[in-house]
Amino acid sequence: MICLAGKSLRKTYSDRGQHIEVLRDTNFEVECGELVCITGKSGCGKSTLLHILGLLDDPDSGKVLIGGEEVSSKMAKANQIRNRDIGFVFQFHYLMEDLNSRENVALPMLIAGSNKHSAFQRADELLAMLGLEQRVNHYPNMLSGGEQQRLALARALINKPKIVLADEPTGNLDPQHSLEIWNLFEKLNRELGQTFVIVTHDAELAGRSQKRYELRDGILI
Amino acid sequence: MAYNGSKVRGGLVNAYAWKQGERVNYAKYVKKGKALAGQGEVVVGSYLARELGLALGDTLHLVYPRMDQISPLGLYPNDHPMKITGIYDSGFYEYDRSLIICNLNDAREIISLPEGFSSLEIKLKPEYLDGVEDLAYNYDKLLGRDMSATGVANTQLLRIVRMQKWLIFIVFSFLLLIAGINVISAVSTLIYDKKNEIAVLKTLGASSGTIKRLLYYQVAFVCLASILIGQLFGYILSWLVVHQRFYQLKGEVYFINRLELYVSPLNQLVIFLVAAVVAILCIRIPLRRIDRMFIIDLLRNP
Repeated sequence: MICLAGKSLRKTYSDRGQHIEVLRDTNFEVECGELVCITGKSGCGKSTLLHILGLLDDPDSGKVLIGGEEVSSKMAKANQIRNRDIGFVFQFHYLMEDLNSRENVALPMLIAGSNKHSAFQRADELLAMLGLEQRVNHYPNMLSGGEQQRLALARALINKPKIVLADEPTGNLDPQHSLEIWNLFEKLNRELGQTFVIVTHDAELAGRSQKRYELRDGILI
Repeated sequence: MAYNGSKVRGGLVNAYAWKQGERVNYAKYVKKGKALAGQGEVVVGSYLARELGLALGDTLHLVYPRMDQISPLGLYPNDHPMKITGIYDSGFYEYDRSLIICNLNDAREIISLPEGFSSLEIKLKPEYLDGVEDLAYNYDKLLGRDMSATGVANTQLLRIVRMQKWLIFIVFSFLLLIAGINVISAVSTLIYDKKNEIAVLKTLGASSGTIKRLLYYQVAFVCLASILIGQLFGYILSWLVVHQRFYQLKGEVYFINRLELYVSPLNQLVIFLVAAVVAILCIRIPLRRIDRMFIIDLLRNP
């Protein structure tokens, strides 16, 4: 079953009169339960593609489908879709510095309107699953880079999304922590059947994924 | 006229027919001696006593020049030596410098009035103050007597106070405007500082409305707490101004030598409501920017 698809996606940026076409009639499909990697040179449009698939940005033309339904960032329920169906992990973890680990992880559930008790309970379960049970009350600045990224992953998973989009999740980590995070992605994919689309520079780690795309000249190969 | 040696000052004599041990309304201002003047005694204001170089127990000479007793040598001197048995300090320069209080019998003797009184003073409660001139006019027509509103000395002061209240209102309106601009600036800075958090919240599915509400409650709470603290601080400051004795105004310049402040609960409520409304409006203006903040721009330029 197709979990996420992009059809004939086009995106052009204009800079000082110059038009840069980063996506040219790009097509992309992810089956539910797959772990897919997208690689490519810096500035080739990997993040742009991910942002379009995650309803953070809109293509100039083409469409995005989640679970077979056409969606767009301009839809009234785009917020709801981002909250319920998509999990995000960024290179810079973007955790809330004023909130502790439990509160950070529970945030998407609280935004969805769940009560505090059940959100915190689920957050604790996820933190334990990702090996952060000792860090429940710690604030992001008290955690290592690897732990911060695991925390961001827990936050992405809390609403049991259809798909997790990760933009250079290991880009800011040393090789050991990169491997650690990557193993977690694989474990969650294997054990929970969680679908992942991961944008990365790391060709070695990307080589371990079930399906690998390369974005070259605006087209996925 | 009142004099002591070569020092002469004009004065206004108020005479009363007190009963023994009567409580008079000016008793609280009498700082030295007693409030009720007996036969041959006077109560004078602190400025007058100082200007004439007199103290409690000294003799003050009252002179009432009578135009019907002119001799070939000029005005017939009518000197009445009176003992100062009380000195009051009302804080109102006009009174403290000119008002002399004495017994009704002494006053009759000074002006050679066999009985009765020369004038009748009717005191009104403060709530009737605004209509005092109309009231005097109506009674004048009704009774056919020479009735006039003798707010006289105070009228000028009251007009000045009223004008100053308007000036203060205008100054404070500007201050409120500046405070409002500060709130707008502070909220704009807050939004700029929190743009990453706003981007993350939007990414996680929070609507602009939710984020605006979150910031709105946070800033509104701080604003309302600040207004209340400001009012409390103002109340304490007013209390200190009234009760302090370190600094006194110059009565000759300012009419009064100390400030009497009254904190009106209704005014406090109005101030709170106006400040709260201005703060709430000023919070809402910069918050509208959140609607125009796109996640992608925020993520690309953290």
